[in-house]
Amino acid sequence: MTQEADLKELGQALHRRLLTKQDGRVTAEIAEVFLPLLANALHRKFPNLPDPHQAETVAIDSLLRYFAQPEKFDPDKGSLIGYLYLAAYRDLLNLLKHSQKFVELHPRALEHEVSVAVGADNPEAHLLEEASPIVQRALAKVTDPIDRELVALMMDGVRETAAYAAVLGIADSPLREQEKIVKRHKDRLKKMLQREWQRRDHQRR
Amino acid sequence: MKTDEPSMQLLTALAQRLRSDPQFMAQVLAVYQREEQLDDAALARSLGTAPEMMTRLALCRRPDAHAPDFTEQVRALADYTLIDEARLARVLQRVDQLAEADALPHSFRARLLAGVRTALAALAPARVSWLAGAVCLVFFAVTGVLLWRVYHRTSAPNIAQQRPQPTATLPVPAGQRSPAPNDTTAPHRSEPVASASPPRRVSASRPATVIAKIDLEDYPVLREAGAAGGEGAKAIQLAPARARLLLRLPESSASGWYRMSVVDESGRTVATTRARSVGGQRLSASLDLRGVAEKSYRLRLARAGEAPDDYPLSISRSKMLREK
Repeated sequence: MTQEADLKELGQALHRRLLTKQDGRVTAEIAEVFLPLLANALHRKFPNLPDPHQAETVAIDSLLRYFAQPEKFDPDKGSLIGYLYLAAYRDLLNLLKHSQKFVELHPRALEHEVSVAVGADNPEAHLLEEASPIVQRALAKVTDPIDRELVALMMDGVRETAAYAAVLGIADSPLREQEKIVKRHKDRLKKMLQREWQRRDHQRR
Repeated sequence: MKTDEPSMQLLTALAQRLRSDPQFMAQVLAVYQREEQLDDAALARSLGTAPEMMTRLALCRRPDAHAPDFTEQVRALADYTLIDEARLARVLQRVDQLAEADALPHSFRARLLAGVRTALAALAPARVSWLAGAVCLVFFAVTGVLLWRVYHRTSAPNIAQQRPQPTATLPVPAGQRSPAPNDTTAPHRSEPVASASPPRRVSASRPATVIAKIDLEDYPVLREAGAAGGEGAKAIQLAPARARLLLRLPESSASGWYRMSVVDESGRTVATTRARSVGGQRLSASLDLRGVAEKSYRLRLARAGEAPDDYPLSISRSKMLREK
């Protein structure tokens, strides 16, 4: 599967979750995946903006509009990143037209531009990890491979006990037992990271 | 590293923009931060997490407090942001309480205004003159009563002003008598305690807490029973107040639950608490030493099933450390 296809599929999945309005995490997931990509793509497209933060501001505006009215995006017509990019691109063009400094007449193939901005040959998991600096930073604190997998599952919003049980090798235990063990491991990891952060915070001060 | 810094800044900027949107956790955190007067770092510390996790949390939607699966939603957010779910629930609860408190006066005011409007609408124009007369009558009556009360207050002997001011009640050391209210021979003092330190008002709602960082390696272990502090031995100094003790345990101490007690020379326990050391290096516990007489004691530290270690302890008002 190509990276564009991965991104499109991911965007559709997140969009479906956003529409349900019952998933608290999805907005953060969308922002962490798509906002940096969007801002990078705009930066590449408009490298010489008079205000260097204009691309970021427009990217954020585009995302906020999507959060407010997600139903305006039609997944059958294109990818989510393409939709966000197009909206941001138009906003930026309008801004520049108003300031009469730059006029772009031929917008190029958006999917292509986004994929160039993202990079060439990353698999999806790597893409997600790269795109989310928050996940990256948390994982940097965890050295044990099993703990890393557990933290990654938690930060990916996985709620099923079975997924954690599989990583911990307790899939054969009774469900109640699995739930107890998984909860214990989650709490332990939170505490461990909390201590790490406290230490870092203490060092900073 | 820091190649992800621009992305973090971007997400932080988005979180900032969401601070006014009540659908997002960013607004919850902003309200909590404002009410508790916390900066970003202190907010992260209070939730036991890193600032970048606060950003992630801020970008999440606020769980619906009326949803049947509210607890599960909070749990999911807590896992997703690696934050302790109890702490997160407390923040949400606090902000909800604040919102309710804010809403109450508004609704009351709205009802009051609606009532006044209804009353005014009900009044026919013909009755306005009658109403004006009634209002004037009530005004004169109220003014008269007020003037009468003011006159009588100024002409009456001013007994109330001669009453002693209310003072904070602090423990009275054994053997010392506090002056009786009618005892005119006793000198008038703001506190009934003989103390070299200046009088200190104690807030009833939030008693002062003294934080004491103690490295137990610096103090001798008292093995023999009897003399409380041991003459000449370097003693831990504490004030007779609510104390938060941050102990650094001696090397090779074990992790687990400890019983911490303050014991006097006769072996009587005057204060005690339980605390857990996770790594066997530190122990943090609260002891309420208010009301404990100023003299020498032993600080007894005992782990379940093991012989206790006693350290010389001196409780004295003049050793007040840093106040929380």
